[in-house]
Amino acid sequence: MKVLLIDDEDDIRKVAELSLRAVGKFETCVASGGREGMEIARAEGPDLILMDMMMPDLDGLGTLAELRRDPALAGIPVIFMTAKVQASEIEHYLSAGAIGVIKKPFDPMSLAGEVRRLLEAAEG
Amino acid sequence: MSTVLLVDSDADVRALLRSALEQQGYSVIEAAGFAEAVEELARAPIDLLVVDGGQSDGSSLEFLAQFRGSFPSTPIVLLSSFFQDLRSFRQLTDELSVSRVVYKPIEAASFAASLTWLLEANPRSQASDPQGPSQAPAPPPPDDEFEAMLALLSDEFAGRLPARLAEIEAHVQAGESERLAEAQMLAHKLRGSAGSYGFGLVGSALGVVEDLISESLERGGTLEGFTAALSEARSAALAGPRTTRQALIGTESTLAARVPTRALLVVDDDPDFLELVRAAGENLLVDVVTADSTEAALELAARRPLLAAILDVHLKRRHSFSLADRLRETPGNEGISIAFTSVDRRITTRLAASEAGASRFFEKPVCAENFAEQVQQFLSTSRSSPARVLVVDDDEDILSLYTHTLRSAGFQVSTLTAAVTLVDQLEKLSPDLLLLDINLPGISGVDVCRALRMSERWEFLPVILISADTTPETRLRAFRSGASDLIQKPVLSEELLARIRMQVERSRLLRERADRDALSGLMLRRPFLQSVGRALALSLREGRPLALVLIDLDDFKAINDTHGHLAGDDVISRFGDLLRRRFRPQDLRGRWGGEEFVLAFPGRGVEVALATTKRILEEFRALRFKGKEGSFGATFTAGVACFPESGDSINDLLRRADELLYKGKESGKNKVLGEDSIFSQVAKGEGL
Repeated sequence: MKVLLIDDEDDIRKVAELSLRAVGKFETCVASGGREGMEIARAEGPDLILMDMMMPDLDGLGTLAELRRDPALAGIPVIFMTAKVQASEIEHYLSAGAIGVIKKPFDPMSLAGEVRRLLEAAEG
Repeated sequence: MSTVLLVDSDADVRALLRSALEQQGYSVIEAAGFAEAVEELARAPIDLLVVDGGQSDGSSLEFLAQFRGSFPSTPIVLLSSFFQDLRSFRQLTDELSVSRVVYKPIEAASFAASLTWLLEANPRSQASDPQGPSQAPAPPPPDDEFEAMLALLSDEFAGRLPARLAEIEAHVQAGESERLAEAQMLAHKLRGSAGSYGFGLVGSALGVVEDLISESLERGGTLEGFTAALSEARSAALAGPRTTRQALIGTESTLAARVPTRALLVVDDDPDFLELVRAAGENLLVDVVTADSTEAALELAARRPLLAAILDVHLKRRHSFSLADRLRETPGNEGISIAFTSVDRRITTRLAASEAGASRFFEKPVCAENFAEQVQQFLSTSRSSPARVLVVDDDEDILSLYTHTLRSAGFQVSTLTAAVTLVDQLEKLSPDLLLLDINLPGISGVDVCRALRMSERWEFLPVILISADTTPETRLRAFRSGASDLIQKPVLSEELLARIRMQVERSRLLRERADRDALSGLMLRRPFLQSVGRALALSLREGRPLALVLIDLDDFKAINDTHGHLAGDDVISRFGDLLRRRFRPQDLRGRWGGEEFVLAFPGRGVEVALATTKRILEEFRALRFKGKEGSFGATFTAGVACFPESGDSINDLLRRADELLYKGKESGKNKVLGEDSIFSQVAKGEGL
């Protein structure tokens, strides 16, 4: 199970990758922005994408839309991470096609578990 | 003597590690590269390989594989920077049986100390292993690795925080809207990441900063409160990361059910009281949930596990005593502690509360100032580790019956069939309570009890005697010997548990009170020494640093003489407040005596302890006190010592801290002096 982690913040990438790998036993690949994320997604074919909402070049929703336009990538489940979690926003993200939203700051100990649960819930 | 082969291309790192390893009694062979290492290996056997894995071209993996092939059982420690190794962590541990991956910058001395453990714990170093690498012991559990890596990341993050906060400040001070927008972005980013590194309070302070800036950008406001919020972020940053899970704020996702932390339930219809408890909860990093009726409370209790509950005696004009039992009947909440609160001061009300199983009663109106502390005390009894009970009875059947009863109620139980070795066992187990049959062969329970009461160590240990015979004479004998309680045989398990719980709770409470200095609220010297002794033993075992700080208030005698002793007491008490509020829960703070204070930071090196103490000095300087001669300020001088640089015993650390303190006093007071850190050069030269 390979997770692509997209966040422009180095600190978040480090701690999230640690959690995903050491706790969740996921394989990971990382990108520091939406555009780079698209390239890596094409190259690596991840099973799941975990990404920040607010990024300078292409934000989370923008990246999601691009992913959906590419038939090879359209099926990859996406989870957003964001510091602003208002009900209306979450609904907006979910209706855009994300399978879940994880609030920042996250607990590194349970991040991987949250990701797995969201994934399992989405797969039914 | 164990021989370590050290492979690193950096001569400075080699020299540093060599000196630290040699201090630990290892013989060290150096190699600057892999070819040289192979030569060395051909020359003499080694017990441990320490190798820098930083070569990005994969040559280190190649070398390790080759080494493993020839030496299937010699432990390997890999030094490297973070990312590469995380990627290849699996390969390293699974295929090459790397025992440990250590991330740079390395604290040389603690690293060297940790190897001792590795060599002892790792049987592969003792003899050659004929079975080859596939039979090698499993790599260390991922949780330890994870915790260690997380701690490392957190420390690095902490190191970057001051500069980041300064950057935000600089942007804001520039005042242009572009710079403000930049500051907002930075605050937003940090707000999102700080909590994940254990800096939840920094995150929340930055949330305020972000909101202030965005308001100012939208409406052109004045940014009032910015400085305060930023300085809050700064002091939270200095307080260091909180690694306990409950301190990490706001972990939740919206679809998956989150596993909730246990919460403090407050049932009351008085909004002011609810507000007070919420504030206390925030202070103590405890989730607080509230309900204003019995039904709402039960519904909450059914939905999430509770830590404890505080119930108002009167809810909607009806008594709420029965709610205590009903809460304890909800799944997962069987053993929770319950407190009642009321304006009703009658003893009958308290009695009813106690009969309902409450362990605390908060009298209303509660005093806002120390309410958080009262709540903490209440919670600490409910959160404390399981009590240890030592049972002595010569009847094995009865022993196993008590053991069963106590274990199923969550106690830790040890047993003895005779009192002969009792004192040794007490020393070894240090139980919270002793349960003793009154008729033991050889020496009677009564005599045991009397003997224990004669030693200072066991003077206050709760002792419960059990006897079939409860004639007045026996009862008198029992209580005269100093027994805390006497239970009649045959023993009802409910009664046994109730009496044991009561004794344990009282004695823990008393101990906690007795351990604290009344004026400053800090630990007294002896309990401090005990706690720091335990912390230091752990540090030695794990090869983690521990910093110890001695603080002496400057010119305290002059303060007393000029402003009166009441003013002096006020200085001590407010300094105690400052120390109590500022640190991680695991940091130890004590009043050493008079105007002397002592702090210990487990897991922290000199730099962090130095910065923290300097920050405390700044805060302390800013305080104003009222005295006979008007308002005045005070300062202190402090010395910071550290394991391993200053030594490995408490006495070494105290002596060194005292020396530095003295040096500080000699050179003008009002300052903090620290031990020279032998790591500082490495840390500076080798940032990731």
